[in-house]
Amino acid sequence: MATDDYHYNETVLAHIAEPHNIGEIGDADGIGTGTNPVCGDEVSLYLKFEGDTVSDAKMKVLGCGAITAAMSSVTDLVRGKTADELRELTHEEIAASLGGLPKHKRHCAQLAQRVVRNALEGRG
Amino acid sequence: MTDMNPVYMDHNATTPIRPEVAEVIHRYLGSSFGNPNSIHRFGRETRAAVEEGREHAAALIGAADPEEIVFTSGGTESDNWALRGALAAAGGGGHIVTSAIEHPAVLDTCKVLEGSGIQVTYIRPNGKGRVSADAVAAAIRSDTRIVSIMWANNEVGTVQPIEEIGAICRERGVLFHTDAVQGIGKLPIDVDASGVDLLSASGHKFNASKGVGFLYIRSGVHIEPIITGGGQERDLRSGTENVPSIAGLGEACRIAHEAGAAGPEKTRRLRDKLENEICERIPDVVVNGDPEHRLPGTSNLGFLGAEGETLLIRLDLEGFAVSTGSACSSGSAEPSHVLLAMDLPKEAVLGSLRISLGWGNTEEEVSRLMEVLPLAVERVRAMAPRARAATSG
Repeated sequence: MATDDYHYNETVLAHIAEPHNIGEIGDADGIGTGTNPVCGDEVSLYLKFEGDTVSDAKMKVLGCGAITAAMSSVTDLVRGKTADELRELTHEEIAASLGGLPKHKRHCAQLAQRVVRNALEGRG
Repeated sequence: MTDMNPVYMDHNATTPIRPEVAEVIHRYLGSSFGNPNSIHRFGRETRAAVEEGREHAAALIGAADPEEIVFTSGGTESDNWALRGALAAAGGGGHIVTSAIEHPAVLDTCKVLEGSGIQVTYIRPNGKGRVSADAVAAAIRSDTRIVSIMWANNEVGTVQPIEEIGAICRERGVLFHTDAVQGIGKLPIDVDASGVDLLSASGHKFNASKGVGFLYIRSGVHIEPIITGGGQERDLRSGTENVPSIAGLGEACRIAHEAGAAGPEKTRRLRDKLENEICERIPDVVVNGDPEHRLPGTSNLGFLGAEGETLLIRLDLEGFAVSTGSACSSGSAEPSHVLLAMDLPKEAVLGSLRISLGWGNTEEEVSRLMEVLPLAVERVRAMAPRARAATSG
C-alpha cells in the first residue's frame, strides 16, 4: 500500500476512540504538564512509583487526536520503567508505539516526551 | 465503529455527485469521446456538450452571454487566473485588496505576488467573519488593480456584502473578483446585480465532479491567460476541454438553476433544526459565524472545553463525517486562519466543529447525529485537564 503521511493509522484511531488511563492520581509522585502554544493543546501526566519503577500512570488531555493518542500510549509505555529509563524515552519511540504519526503531527510526540521529563523533575 | 451507512455532513469540503450529473458524465466517458475542437462528427457532438454546459453555467449566475464563462480545472485555477491574469493585463506592479479570510487559492497567490513586488491589503473581518464594504472602499488606492473578496466563507459560512462591494468597485473603476466557490448552487447569484467582473466557481462543491470549474469574465474585461497552448476556450485557457466533467458541471448548474431557492431552503431548515437542537441540548456551545448572513448548510460551532479534531474522529468512528478548524487538522500546525482572523476566543477555535449539510441530508440523519453528539462532547470534555464536564453537566 502507498504511504499515507496525512491520515491517522488504525492504532492511533483506536487510542482516540478509547484513550488509555484517563484521569488523575491523587497521591502522584510526579506530575508533568505541558502545552503547545501554537495549537492550544494542554496535557497533564500523573506518575506513581513503587520502588524505582512506575506502577501507575494517568493522563488528562485537551488536544487533537495525535496528542490524545500519544499521551494514551505514554501511560502504557512508562509502566515498569525507572526514572532514568524514562528520561531516555524519545519522541521517536512514542511515535513508533503508535505505528507512526502523520508528518504534521510529529510535534505531538515531542510534547508527550517533554511532559514525561517534566513529571520526573526533582526525582533522582 | 458503526455498522450503519456513514452520514456525510461535510459538504463545504466536497459534495456527492448527483446521479443525473453522473449519468451525463458517463455519456462522455463512453462512445462520445471526440475532441470538441475536431471538425468531424465526433468533435461536433462533444462541442455541443461543452457549449450546452456553458449555457447552463451562464444561466445559473445571470451572465448575459455564455461566452463570459471559461472552463477551468476548478476554483483554485480560477482564483489564480483572476488575480494573475488581471495584474498581467494591467502591465505589472500595483495593488490588490483582499480579505484575511479568503481561501488559500487567493491568499497564497497574493503572497507569491507580494514576492514579485505587488502590494496587498488584507482586510480583517469582524468577529462574525464579515468584511465591511467601507473597509474595502478605504483600502482602494489609485494603483489598485483588483479587489478580490469571496462570496461566502467556506469555514464559517459568512456571506459577504458582495453587492455593496461591487457598487464601490464600479464607482472607483476597479476590477472586482469574487471566489464564489461556496456560494454557487447554494445562494442566488446574479453577476449583474452584484457588479462582479470575475467570478470563480468549482464543480465539486455543488454536486458535480472534481477537477472542473469556471471563471466568469464580464464582456469587455480583459485578463491575460495563464495557461497557453492550443488556444482552446477562445484563446483564453488552453488545453483540450475536460468534456465529461464540463458536461457534468453544466448539468449541475441546470439542476441548481431549476431548483432555485427550494433546494437551499430545505438545507437551511435542516441546518437550523440541527443547530437549535445542539444549542439546546449541549451546554457551552457558541456559533462561529454570522447567523444573519450565512450559507444555508453551514454550522460552525465552538464546543468550549473540547477539542475539535478529537471530536471529529469520535464522530467519524460513529459514522458521521464533519470537519474542524482547530489546529493541525489540514496539514498545518496552526488553527484555521479564518477563525484566527475573526479574533475568536481560544476555546471557540480549539473546540470548533464545522457541520456542513447539503443535498442528500435528511431529518433522520440529523436525529441520528443528535443521538451521538452530546455524549461525544461530554467524553472529550471529561478528558481535559481542569475538566469542564463538572461545570457543564
